[in-house]
Amino acid sequence: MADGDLRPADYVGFRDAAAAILGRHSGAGALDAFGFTDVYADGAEDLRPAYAFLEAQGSCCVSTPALGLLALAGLDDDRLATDGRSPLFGAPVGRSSLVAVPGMTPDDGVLVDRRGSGLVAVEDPSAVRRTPPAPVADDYLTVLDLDRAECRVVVPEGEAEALREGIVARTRLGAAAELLGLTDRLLRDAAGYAGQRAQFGRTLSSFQAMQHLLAWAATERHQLTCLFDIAVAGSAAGPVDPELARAVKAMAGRVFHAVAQTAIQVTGAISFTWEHSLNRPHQRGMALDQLAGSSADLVAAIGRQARTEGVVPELFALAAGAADT
Amino acid sequence: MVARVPGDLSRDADLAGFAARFRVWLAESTADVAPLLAEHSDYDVRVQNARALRRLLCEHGWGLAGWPEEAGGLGGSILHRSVVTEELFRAGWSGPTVFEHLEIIAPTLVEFAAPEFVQAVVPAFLDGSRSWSQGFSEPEAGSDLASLRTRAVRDGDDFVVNGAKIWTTWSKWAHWCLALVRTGSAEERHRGLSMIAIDLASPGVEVRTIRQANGTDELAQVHFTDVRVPAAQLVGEVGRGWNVALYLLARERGTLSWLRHCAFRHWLTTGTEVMGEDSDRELGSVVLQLAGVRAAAARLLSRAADGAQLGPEAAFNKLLMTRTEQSLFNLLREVDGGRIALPADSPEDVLQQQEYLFSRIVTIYGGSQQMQLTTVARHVLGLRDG
Repeated sequence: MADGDLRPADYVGFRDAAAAILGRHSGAGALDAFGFTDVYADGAEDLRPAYAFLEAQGSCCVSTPALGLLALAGLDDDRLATDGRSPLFGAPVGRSSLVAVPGMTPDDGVLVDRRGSGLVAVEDPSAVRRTPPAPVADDYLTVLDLDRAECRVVVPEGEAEALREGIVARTRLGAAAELLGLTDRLLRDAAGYAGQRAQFGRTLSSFQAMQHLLAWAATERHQLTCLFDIAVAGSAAGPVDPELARAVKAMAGRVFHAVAQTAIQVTGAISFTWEHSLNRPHQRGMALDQLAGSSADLVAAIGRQARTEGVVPELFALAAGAADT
Repeated sequence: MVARVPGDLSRDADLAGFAARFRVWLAESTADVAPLLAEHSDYDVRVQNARALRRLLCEHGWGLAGWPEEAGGLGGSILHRSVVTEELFRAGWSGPTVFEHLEIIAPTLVEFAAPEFVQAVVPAFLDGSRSWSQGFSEPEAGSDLASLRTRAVRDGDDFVVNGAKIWTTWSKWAHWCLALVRTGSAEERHRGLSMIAIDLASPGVEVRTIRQANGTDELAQVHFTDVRVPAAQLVGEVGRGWNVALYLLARERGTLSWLRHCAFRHWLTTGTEVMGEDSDRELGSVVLQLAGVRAAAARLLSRAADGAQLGPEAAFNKLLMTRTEQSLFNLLREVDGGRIALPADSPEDVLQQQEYLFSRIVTIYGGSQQMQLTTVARHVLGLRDG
């Protein structure tokens, strides 16, 4: 959606620059062209460009390892690198032993968080890779089964505990950025389709029922951009607040599913075909929602905390939130 | 040591510091403030307390913070006013009743009315001695506001107003009505409208309250029969009333959502006391909706503070705000239906019942939910008929 004047100008500039690159490059090449690793090479003080890159990546539905790198941004620790290369973080999926690695290639090292052990390197990620029996619509996320993996402790539990919160918060905010981009993509495509496709001698977008469906989708997306932008603006000044990152990720998942459903309804049966342009971003978003806490689990956790503590979280102060964006 | 006065209110001033100073003042003034924040089932008492609170806040400068000096304020922006609002709710306030209009009508007067008129009426609005209602809807003009018929005809230095307004919230307690009237022909539709401030004590004004489904009489029908209104009380130019109305509605639909979300938090926090484990997912869902309202409101406040012209994006705030209000009260009904539905025996329960019933119609006032969706579809998404 064209709402650049409503969102932070710096951030929109980074995002649009990334989108231009992602229109021509993917994988490590896109990261190099954007200077992605430079973003956090100096200690991850301002990760806004990284989140902007991920939003653009979602919108373009391109695959890079950016999300896996972002999770470990700022952990200036020589022990993490394998063969001089930065490893990718394998984000937990649900309550199982599975992790998902974004944009992984056969040469990439993978680091995961194992409670009780610390941050561990997966010795041979390809050997424990889930192999789907049928083609997948989107191969962005590689799923590893840690039950079958040989792992080596890189950062022991005693040290990992201090890093855990930041890794989870960055993963959640980064995944939310991608989900926001995917949401944009689906909404933009659905609105475009509705403006072209004619039934009963009129375009679909001329029917009030269609207009209101799309307006609700735009409203969902608007609230996500507002909360997301506040979290990202805050990330420039220090670590992301874990409760805010959790809320943003939960909202991103919920909004994505709502908008995807609207997009499918608006585009009709054609969108339920393998080849349709909606299929890949839809399945990518479904998978991203499962990373580092699904929206369903996070929403329940948010409710549980509010009930047991008797406090409805404010998540950000007006002083900081409004003035900084 | 934190100062006990509003302090520096410049645009770049530290809002967090301002909030901290106000909290200190609130804590030190508990004996005076707490009785004015308490909930009452008698609406007249609530209005009386709201007036007294405005007076107290202005006496100490806090009620003037964020308002321009030409309107009797101390300078600053809507962010300062919003901080005061939030802190009051944190201290246990259930809401400003008739002074909810302050954030809607006073900025409109400051923006469009003659400076002399602003100086004459806004300070008394700020300090609670005078309150305002807004006259938009008519018996034959609801969502189709541009078809309104209340007519104002120029006669010397006055306009003579005839017609009727309906659903004019808080008119029973109001001293003024900011009314949208027809000064041109019916065929001119919205181009034939003007905004004018009518003194409700004028001869020919009759306020008939409407007893609502929730037992209160906040709404009213206001009849105007040959009411003479000085032309100096025009708000904006003749024939430009629609623009003034759009400015006002962007406040009612948009920036007001900050105040409303503070009230929602108050109700939801209270409700958690009776919730069990089985409510966690629904509670989490409402908390998340509330976060969306808060974030969208913060963005709009920031834009307003920067002097941006608020446009159709205010429709987002109205849609989010009203959906959340209904979700919140649906949840409270589901976890403690008896409190909502059965005869109450405490002021808090009466108030919650009133609020529950009011929440059923929030998707109607200020432009219905369907009108807001159409605004988003046409003016944000660019979808067109035909």
